[in-house]
Amino acid sequence: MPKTNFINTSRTIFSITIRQSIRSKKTFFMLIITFLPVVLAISYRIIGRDMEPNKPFSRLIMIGPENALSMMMMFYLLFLGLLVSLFYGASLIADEVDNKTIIYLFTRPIKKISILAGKFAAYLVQSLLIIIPPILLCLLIIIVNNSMIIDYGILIRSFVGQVGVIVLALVVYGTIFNLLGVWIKRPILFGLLFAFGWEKMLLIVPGSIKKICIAHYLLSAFPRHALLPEQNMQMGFRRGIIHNSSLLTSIIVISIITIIFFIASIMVINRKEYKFE
Amino acid sequence: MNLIAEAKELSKWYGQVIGVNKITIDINPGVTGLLGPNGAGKSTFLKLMVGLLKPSSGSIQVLGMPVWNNPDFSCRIGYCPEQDAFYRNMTGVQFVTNLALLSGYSRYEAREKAMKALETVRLVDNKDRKVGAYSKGMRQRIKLAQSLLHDPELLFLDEPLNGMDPISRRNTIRLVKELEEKGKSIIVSSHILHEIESMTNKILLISNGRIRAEGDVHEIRELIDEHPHNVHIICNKPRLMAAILVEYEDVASIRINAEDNSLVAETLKPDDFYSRLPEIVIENDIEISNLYSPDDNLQAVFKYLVG
Repeated sequence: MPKTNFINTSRTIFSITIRQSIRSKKTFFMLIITFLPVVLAISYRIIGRDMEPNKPFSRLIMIGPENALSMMMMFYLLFLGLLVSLFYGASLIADEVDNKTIIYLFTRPIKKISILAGKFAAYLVQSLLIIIPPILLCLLIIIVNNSMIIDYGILIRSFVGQVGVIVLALVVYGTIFNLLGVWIKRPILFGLLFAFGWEKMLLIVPGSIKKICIAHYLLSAFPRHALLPEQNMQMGFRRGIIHNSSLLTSIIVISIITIIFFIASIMVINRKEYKFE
Repeated sequence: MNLIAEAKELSKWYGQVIGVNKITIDINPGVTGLLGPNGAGKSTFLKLMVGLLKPSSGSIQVLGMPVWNNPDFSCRIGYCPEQDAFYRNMTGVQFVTNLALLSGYSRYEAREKAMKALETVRLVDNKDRKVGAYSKGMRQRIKLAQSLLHDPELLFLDEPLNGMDPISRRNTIRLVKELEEKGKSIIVSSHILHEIESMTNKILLISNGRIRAEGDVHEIRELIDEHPHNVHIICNKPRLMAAILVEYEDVASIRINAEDNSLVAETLKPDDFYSRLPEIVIENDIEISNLYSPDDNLQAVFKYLVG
């Protein structure tokens, strides 16, 4: 029998995983959720079209298009990205175990690391496919023919940076939720506690304790000059909730966390015994 | 003669529940039947042998190799699981081809191997149908196909005939015999003696996680025959089937369940009963969607053996 190799095995696992999840109910549900900000963007443009100071919603339109887009990106970063990474990352191995199809993978002459690598690559591709199109659509809706935009160059630059941070979030949260899925029986429950408990609570605690949550580093790397003008920054500093780690520090910390959690997943899947009763 | 499997004081617990209990056994090449009632520990023992489970204590070596996390071992075995688990969005040929790719074959070779395996289990005509739309018997056969595709020297078949129609059963039994003639070793589990008997004379009797007896099937058969054998059939014409079956002397009783188009026949001669089924089905154009035997009579024998 021929020898298996890492690249080919991972590629096959990748295609099996994509094929299984692309037409799933979960993907349909996620697409609906991730397109919600698009509705917001459309509403923003419709309401803003005939804005007058004394009309309802006119306060809302006081937010310029740069800030509106940044807020949408923030929503993708702190809520929708988390949700996508939780539901896809945690189920990479857990779904195979629940459906007992992992039996077919574990009885093939392949290393378990190649299963994880293929599955993680599939996770990244499908989560990007779910997140990026609505983000681009938001951008288009906000910027096309919009006379309120002061500087297109700044807006696009910060948008690209924001998308980069969202991708980083998908990677780092993906490895964490993947570890949960490999390790414990109810990964979604614990993932929810982590994502909307730990991450959200620590984020608003003043002082340096927030540095033990990942969202702090993501927000530090998040280009937000359009979102927080000078006076808001000063107010934020006084409250102690500004995320001020440098971009380099943030990227290094996020990379280290990603590597540690991925290695931990490999160690767990190599040692853990899954029962299929 | 090289042993194909060697277990020493092998135990497996699931928390407080015993899966297998201090099994010490050497298994020789050829076809070996693992016979025991449901919950006896057959599947656990097989999973320990294929490396899906880690022993709680004791040791197991198969083909002279450690089995846990050992890809070199996995490429020498084929495993047909009991679980009805599939990638349901895939067609039959995609399912088997993907698993062939994971066995290290190139795309072209994988497709070829998959087609050959599907041909062996007679699923070529249905290769492009979604596995999720297969009947139970077809799903059993596709599981068998994936275990055969890389031509392993040792096959583990966990209840392979469960849910198969009579013709598929006959073909699968024939396949097991052909593989044995080609020098392959097979460990096959079942809770039905006559199924095992049709494939091999060598059996291991397992109950409550322990090997109770090993050796020739005929001694066990005599014990079994003292107890009537129930066969549960789900088909499109249960009343016609019942009317035909009741004519045979070995059929002691028949119960029809109108709710699910099923009938339960009690026979004193299971071999005769099963061998005449294909003919009845073909002659009367009856479609059997499921066929299985509850293990009541085997339980009775085990009660006798265990005391």
